[in-house]
Amino acid sequence: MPQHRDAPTPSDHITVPARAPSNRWGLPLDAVLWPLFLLLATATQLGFKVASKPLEALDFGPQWLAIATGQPAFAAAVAGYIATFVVWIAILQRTALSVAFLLTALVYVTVTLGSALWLGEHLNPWQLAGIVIIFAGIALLGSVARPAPLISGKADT
Amino acid sequence: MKTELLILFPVSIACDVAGQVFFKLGAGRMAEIGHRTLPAFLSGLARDRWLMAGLLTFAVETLIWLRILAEVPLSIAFAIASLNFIGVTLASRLLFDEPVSALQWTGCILVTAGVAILAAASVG
Repeated sequence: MPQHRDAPTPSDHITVPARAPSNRWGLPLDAVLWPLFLLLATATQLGFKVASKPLEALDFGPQWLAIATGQPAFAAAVAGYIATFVVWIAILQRTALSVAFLLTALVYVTVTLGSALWLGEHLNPWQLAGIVIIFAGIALLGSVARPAPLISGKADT
Repeated sequence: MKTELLILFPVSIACDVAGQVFFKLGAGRMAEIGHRTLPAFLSGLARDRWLMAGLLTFAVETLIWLRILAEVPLSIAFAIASLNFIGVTLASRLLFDEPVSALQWTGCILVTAGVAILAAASVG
């Protein structure tokens, strides 16, 4: 819902939740866009995985293509891909690329956890270690992105 | 084979970084125009040249990625691709003049390491 965006300024370098514009329901846009982005990106990957199941025994060819593209899961995943792109551009309109891109690492976490929860894949200790380290890195980022006059925009340049 | 990968991996990461830079440029230009409704935002999105350039870059990147996957297992390829987090942070700092604090760099390196470990551990 980027249409409610206030006029951007060159100092829009970093997300500042305290001053972030809200949508018509009074929710900060980040609180809507990020969960939506993670949900769409995760559902897209799980959708492709589900769509690949009936293809396991097939060789690549016209029949493979017909079965792959004929599945509802495939259509849903392609739609999910496009929707993820739209939400990503809406996020980039209002967030510094350096901050936003690091946050996309959460998709690795949600896809891994989603595969375990819904596709019955097993998690190993190293995967859990990776997830913990990703969270640690993002926690450090969170401490930078919090509203503080010192780091808002170009105030320090 | 080995020498080919030494070229393919950097090119793949460069494509990732360039694609995101194009997306950021397109998003920035769209924000300047200011689309007030969702249909206006979507039609602006479909027409933006920077966004097209970004999509094209990712199309090329997909082909390079397939070439890489033909040579190395997915878990290894993904672990190396996690370097794109460092690449995009560097590009944001250099090209868009975004402030990146020491704490943020530490976070970036942790995220890169975390994704690399998670990817390398995800086999099958």
